[in-house]
Amino acid sequence: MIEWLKKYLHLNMAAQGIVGINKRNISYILAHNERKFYPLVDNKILTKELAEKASIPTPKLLGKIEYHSQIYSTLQNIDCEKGFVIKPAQGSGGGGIMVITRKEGDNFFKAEGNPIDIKEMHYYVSNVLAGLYSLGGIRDTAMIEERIICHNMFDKIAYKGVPDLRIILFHGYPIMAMLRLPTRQSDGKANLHSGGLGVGLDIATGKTTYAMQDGQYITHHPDYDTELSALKIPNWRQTLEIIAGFRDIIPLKYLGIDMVVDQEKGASLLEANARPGIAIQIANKCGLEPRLKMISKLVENGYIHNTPEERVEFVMASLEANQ
Amino acid sequence: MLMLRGRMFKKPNVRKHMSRHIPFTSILIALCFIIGVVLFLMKFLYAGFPVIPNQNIKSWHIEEKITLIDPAENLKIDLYLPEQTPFYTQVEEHFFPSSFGRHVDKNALQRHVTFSKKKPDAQEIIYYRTVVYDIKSASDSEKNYIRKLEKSYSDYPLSDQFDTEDIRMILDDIHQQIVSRSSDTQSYVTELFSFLKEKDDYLKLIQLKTSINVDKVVLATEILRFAEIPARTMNGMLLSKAKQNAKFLRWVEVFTGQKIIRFTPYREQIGMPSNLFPWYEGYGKPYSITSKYKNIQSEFSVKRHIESALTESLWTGQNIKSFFYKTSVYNLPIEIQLIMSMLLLIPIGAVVCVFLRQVVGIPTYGTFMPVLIAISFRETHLFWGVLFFSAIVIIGMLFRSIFDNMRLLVVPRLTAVLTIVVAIIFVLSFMLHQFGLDAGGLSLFPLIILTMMIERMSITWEEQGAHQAIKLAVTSMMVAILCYLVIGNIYIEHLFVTFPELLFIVLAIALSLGRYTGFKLTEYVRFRAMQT
Repeated sequence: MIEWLKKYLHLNMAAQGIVGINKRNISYILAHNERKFYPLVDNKILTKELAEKASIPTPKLLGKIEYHSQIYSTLQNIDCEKGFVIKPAQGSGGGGIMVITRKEGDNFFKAEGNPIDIKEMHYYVSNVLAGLYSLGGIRDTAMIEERIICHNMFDKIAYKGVPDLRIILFHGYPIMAMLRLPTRQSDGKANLHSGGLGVGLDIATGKTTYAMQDGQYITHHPDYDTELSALKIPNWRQTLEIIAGFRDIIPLKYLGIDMVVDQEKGASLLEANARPGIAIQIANKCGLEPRLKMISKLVENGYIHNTPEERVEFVMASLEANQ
Repeated sequence: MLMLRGRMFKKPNVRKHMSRHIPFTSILIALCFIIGVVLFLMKFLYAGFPVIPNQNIKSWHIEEKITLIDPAENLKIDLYLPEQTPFYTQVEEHFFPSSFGRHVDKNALQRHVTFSKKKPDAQEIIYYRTVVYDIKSASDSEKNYIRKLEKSYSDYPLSDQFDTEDIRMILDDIHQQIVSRSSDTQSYVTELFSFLKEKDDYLKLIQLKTSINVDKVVLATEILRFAEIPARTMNGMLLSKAKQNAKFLRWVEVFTGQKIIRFTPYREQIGMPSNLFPWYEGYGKPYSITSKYKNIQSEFSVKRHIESALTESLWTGQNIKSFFYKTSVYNLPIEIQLIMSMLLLIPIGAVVCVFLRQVVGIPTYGTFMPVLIAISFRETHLFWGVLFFSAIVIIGMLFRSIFDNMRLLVVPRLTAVLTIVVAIIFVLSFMLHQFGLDAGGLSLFPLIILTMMIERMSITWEEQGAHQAIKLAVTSMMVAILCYLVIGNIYIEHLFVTFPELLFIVLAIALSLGRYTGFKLTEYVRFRAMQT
């Protein structure tokens, strides 16, 4: 029994280079990320400001609500032509995000189609301000940003919500990527915990590889029955180059970057994450450790490519060679 | 890679940072572990602290309650305090309330405490509490104790009501009958015992001339004093079962130089049970009061208490000067010992939680919630604890959903849920009391933790569904039960209270778990699909 466990489980997982939560926390997050820089990514308003300064595309900030007294006036005066998104600036795990497509009088229409009146909106925003969805339950700010118009390539693979790209950035090198797709089960959220899909992406080409839901591999989207392999993310290299540029604005060495692909603007930044999850390894059917070690070795020897273009080129070349 | 070498820049400090970090942690872990083990072994091998609790030692909580109704001004009452004998060890004494003036007279033959108050209330209640261990005391040897008493009671005068011509004649009559049949003190006592046991007429005669309160024990004491044998009447109680209203027994004690002979003519044979706890000397009540109040009630209760953690060697005074004994938890008052034993167990519970979280990978609501729940289980016991906990969380969640529909702000809503939790605990305690169950432990349920648990569970329910919310609640409860099984274990409790230096080992374990980079057991399941 023990032999079997060792052979079947442990050795396999270690040999595949899978990084567990404990290893991620100790060897990567604690060792490489300085605590004082966490607020830069934990607070989405700060991240957005930094990105805008560095001319990285990101959905425009339409407004923010810091106090209860601002709720009604802000909601009533909001510019609602294209719809908007309200979310907690320091939310965690994608909680408390509300997508509004249009407004009729005092009624707002959610992305799912059902209306919500201004009183309910007020209650929701006051919960956000009290820190209900935030890390550690501290007082928070509600941020309002423009709604993303999803790229039409996702029309047949995303159920209602907005799919996003998750890229692991280590020392400025984009080493692993995944596409997260909302499903009926996940209630239109691109959240793996609630049943969203994770689709692995080949760094070298931007093509989809494996797809998983709830830790199990699948080949077709459960709601549309469309095939999930061999899709290609548009402008892949440029997207990676934008992401690799984050090394210059956020001094965290191990980062998860969430991007969306907008119909008009192309890839834009949604948020960054100082504690990116490890499920991305399942979606790519590949452990993170070999890639992390490759970059660590480079860094230890004192080599760092200076520009985002060089870093993307290096990663694409090395990962293509590996295959 | 080689061709890129020319374009590399910046030497980052990652390597330096990492290599300095790890050996320091390892050294600290090893140091903590070694200190813990060395101190433990020294205490165990050199000082002889027991590793396993001694459950043969019995102890009792004794409480005296005096109720005074309508006392006059300048109230002054003396409560007799238990004599400090070599047969028992009295660990501590408490007096309530503090609104009285209080003075303890230790040097009097009968140790007593004087309570005084200038303007007493319409009803005054005085408490005296003490803890008594069934261990021979270290303070005085048995021989010294008897010698001291013998000296105090030799040439002891007859009590006033016996010191009259008439009664002296009766006493002399009895004395002559007994002394003619005995050769020494021992045989005198034997003869006196059988004389009083058989004959009632002398007692009736004396009762006529003195008072109805005189019994055979009093008479025996007075005869012995008439014969100039050191003796006294002693009052005390049996320490056997828990008793709400313990009765006083009365017996004669005769001091012969080597031993104490105890007897009462109302028993079949000379001698008294060994679990007799002597309290006060004399023919009266366990208190004395200057003016005449009729409205005084005294009540004594005895509660058995199995003191598993106490070490016999400590109380019997062996090695009492040793550094280890001086710094032992057992040198603190019992109340503080009880708090300490709970405090010392929290780190173990926390380490169990950390292990289940980091190595096994069981998710829970809140990191330390299970430890605090487990601590409260210690008071309520597991079955009731789990039942109450579930009841509080379920009812709390029902109310929380009502509050949620009312659109309340977050903090006031939490306050409302907290209020509901307190109300549930109140109602449960009341119901338990009606069923005759002890509900004391309920008050220790961590209110804030319960409130936060209800809040978190409701949010998980909304966002991730009932399945996930219930799953997390069940795993949290499992972790709490596992924690309880560890910290509720009397052997572990004894070990940590007796050897608090084991905390160094707990610290070492916590630190090493903090550097654990291996997989969690649940991750083997999580990454299962990748294996094929």
